[in-house]
Amino acid sequence: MKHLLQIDWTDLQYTADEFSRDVYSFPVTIRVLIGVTLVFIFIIVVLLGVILGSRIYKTQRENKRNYLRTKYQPIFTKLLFDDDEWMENSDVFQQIDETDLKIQFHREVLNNEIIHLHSNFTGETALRLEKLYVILQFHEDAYKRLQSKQWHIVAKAMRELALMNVQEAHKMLSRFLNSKNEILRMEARVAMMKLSDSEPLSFLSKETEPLTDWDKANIHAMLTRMKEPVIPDFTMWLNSPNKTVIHFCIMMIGYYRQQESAPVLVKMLDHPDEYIRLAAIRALRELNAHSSEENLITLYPLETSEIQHEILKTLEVIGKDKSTHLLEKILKQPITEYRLAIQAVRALLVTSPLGQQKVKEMQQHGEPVLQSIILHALDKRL
Amino acid sequence: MKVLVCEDDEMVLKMVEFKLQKEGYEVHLAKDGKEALEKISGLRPDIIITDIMMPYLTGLEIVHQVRKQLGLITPIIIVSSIGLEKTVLEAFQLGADDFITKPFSPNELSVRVKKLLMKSA
Amino acid sequence: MGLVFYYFTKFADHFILIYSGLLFATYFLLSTFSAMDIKRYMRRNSFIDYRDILTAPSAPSISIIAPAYNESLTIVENVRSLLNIHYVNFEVIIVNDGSKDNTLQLMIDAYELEAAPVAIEQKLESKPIVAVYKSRIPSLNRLTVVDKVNGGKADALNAGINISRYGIFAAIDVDCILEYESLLKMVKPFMEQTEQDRVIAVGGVVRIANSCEVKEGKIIRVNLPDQMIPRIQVLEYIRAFLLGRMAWSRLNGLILISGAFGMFDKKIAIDCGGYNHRTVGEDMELVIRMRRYMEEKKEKYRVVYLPDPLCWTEAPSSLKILSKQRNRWTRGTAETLWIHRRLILNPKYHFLGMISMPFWFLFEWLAPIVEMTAFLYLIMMAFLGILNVELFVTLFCLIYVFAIMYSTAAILFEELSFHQYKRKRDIFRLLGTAFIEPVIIHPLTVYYAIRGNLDLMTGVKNWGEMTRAGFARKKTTG
Repeated sequence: MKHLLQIDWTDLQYTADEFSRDVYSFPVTIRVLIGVTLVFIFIIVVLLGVILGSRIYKTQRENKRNYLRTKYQPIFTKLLFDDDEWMENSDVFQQIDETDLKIQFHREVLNNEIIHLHSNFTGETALRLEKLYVILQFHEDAYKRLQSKQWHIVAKAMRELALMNVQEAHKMLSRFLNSKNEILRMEARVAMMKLSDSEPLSFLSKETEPLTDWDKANIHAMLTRMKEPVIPDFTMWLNSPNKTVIHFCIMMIGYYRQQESAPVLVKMLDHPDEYIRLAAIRALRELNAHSSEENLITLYPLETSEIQHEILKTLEVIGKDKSTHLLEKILKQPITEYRLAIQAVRALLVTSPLGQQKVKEMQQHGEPVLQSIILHALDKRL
Repeated sequence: MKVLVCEDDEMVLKMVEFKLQKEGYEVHLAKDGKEALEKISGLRPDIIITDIMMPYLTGLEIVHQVRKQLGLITPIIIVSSIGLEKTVLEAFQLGADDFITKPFSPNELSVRVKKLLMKSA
Repeated sequence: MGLVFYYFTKFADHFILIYSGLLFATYFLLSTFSAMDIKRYMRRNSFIDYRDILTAPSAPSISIIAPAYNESLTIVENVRSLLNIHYVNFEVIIVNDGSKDNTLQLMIDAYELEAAPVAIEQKLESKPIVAVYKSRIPSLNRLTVVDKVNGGKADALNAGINISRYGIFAAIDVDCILEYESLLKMVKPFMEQTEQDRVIAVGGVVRIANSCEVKEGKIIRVNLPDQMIPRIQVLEYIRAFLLGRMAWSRLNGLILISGAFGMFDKKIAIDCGGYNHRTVGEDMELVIRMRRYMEEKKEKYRVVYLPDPLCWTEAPSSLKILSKQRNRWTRGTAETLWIHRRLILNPKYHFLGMISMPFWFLFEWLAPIVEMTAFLYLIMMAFLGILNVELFVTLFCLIYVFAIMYSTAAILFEELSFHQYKRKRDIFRLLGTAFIEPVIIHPLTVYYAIRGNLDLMTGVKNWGEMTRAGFARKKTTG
């Protein structure tokens, strides 16, 4: 048996020698091509190794994660909804396996579960989750991750600390306010906003970079997650040199229905920037600001069609008798843009009884185009 | 009292189940809109709690079908992360009885369940 | 004469060498850029919660436009799954492009549709609209069905744009299955744009749904296709999307967003004239025209591509349909390049003119032609008995090994990023496919591309109707 397995090395040696001699006899181009091919084959083998390694690793992790999730689901339920609240940390540690708290990956899974649950609940349940988070020392893990060289890990840790309301993290985050990475800078602002006790939005006064719509969504989402909504009077930033800050604040005035800000919004109708005027008109609609009717009517003829459309939408909500004349005029003129005409009809229908009568007349005697537009406007689904 | 909870996030589903069971309700679960509708017509729950964004059928369509197709007056509570005024109004117009935005407090949910069940009894 | 021939063969040998060398180098560069971009994308979105977009007052509204032509097998469930997408302010517009089957009636029955008196402004040219339908069910308010005279895909999309209400539109193939989160993910780049750097279009990776478990328009489980032809296309798609287009997105030189799923700034699309009826490559043509428009306006802009698998589509599973599809793709590319030939190597169009367009010309359109020519040349040389056998064999081996390496790299990218194929068996089968693809299907796709060019020259304008097997029928075959 042993004999059979013995390889005749001299034979192989010979073949290899012969082959390399042959190779050297080839022209340069061919030799280069063979060399490159061999390199490619080597790369393929390496890639295959990585693929398989990654596959095995990922499957293992996935299984472990699922196992841990099913294991801890009833335990979490008990901890969150049991009537007698656990006062001592030991109550918690009794429930959770020590080993699961020691192994890094297991900690991560538990941590993610807590954060996931926290994103769905408020009230006592959320408070208990926050307490659990600290008892299990997950905030310490997050502090460690703040030191990471990879910015996305830092960002994640910041978010986590903010969401879990770890107040003492506030000062640790301030050093990221001037980070070179723009996303990290914004994340630090938003996280600190959540953790600050007073004037959470004060950073808006100093904001010099443009906020994207995504940043605005981000800030808004964090604002809605704050415990006692400390919603400031957003008019204080309407003089900001940063247009995007103004835009955000106008949106928030509308969203939080800050009625008393309506007169200030009316002033914003003169703003040179179209997209600020657009936001202001929309916010006036959300505030139901009847007082702005006349301003919008005067503004209408001077505006771009985008804004005209927005004005008409707002007049549909706030318009009264005064608007009738303008709306009728729009419909009597040759129709340039259907959506304006449709919106004008809709507004006319609700502004005054006279308006309704006018629509009826036009429906019977108007041009065919106008008639079809009125039919369209009457169908609420369209 | 039978409660049907429809929610596609399993972890949340289990938590709500536990909470409501503790309050003494018979809790049934559905992980998607289709399953929910089947259970509604099969089990005739006394109250329905549903998310809006779910596979196959949205919560709003469930409300519509329960009211129009099945003709039931079973109280329905919507629990959704879309708390925009427009969506809330749409839900009420279709016939939902209550709207809770996510994140929500399970305690509050159970209070509202109790209230609605008393009203409908 | 002999001398001329000698120099010709010398030139040809060198040309083949240089062309392959250039090809390798570009592919290598592209995959590097791709890797960078995928990594950046994954990092940027690793800590955020897409659900924040749902409640954001700053989130834009979206019109989904899906042309449908003879889709009766799957239309009802596909519309249902579109309506279930996770987003707040959106509408779904299905454009029935004069189907010859009962596509329209099925929708009318399933969704209780009735004709609605819509006044339509013809901002873009399109064939006449027969009727517009809305549902009687209030919870289906988002759905609009347009019935129009047949005019092709571009025409249907234009009609959809005319009727759409919102500022961003998503053009999709109605038979595609979108992931629930797809709109949230696709809209994020639009939300990240600044005044100085506008996002004009966003594309998403398209994946192959054959053999996947599908329940009522939702992917339940991702499987590798059992049949060879779709399986090979899985590899092609991973390569094209993860290694190719991501790189172009990184370089901001992307000129093709697949017609299966793309999102566009409506105002810019309308300003530059909407979809072009005169080409079968309307998806690529629109992106180039929108870019051209922005270049000519001298405004900064971006076309973004996302590596996330957001859209699943059924790939041709027979050679006959595959040949039609590839034929059409080739014609689309050729027509588009021809329409915009003025841009090629035109420094006024910066990266678009100097790099993207020439690349597309050289390696997308010309590659099959070069391959075919080289093949014919080799045959001729063999016939004449002066074939440089050593060169031929080594070069062939090199190209073969390179193809496998490139595919393996693509599989690695997929494994490290989104690893959709969870089973180990699937990965092995995919790797096996990488070994046989270059010798089995690749020659055929080259042939189809050549046929496409020939058809174009002889004036065939057929869009290549694609018959579908339908997802419902081949559930759980895996």
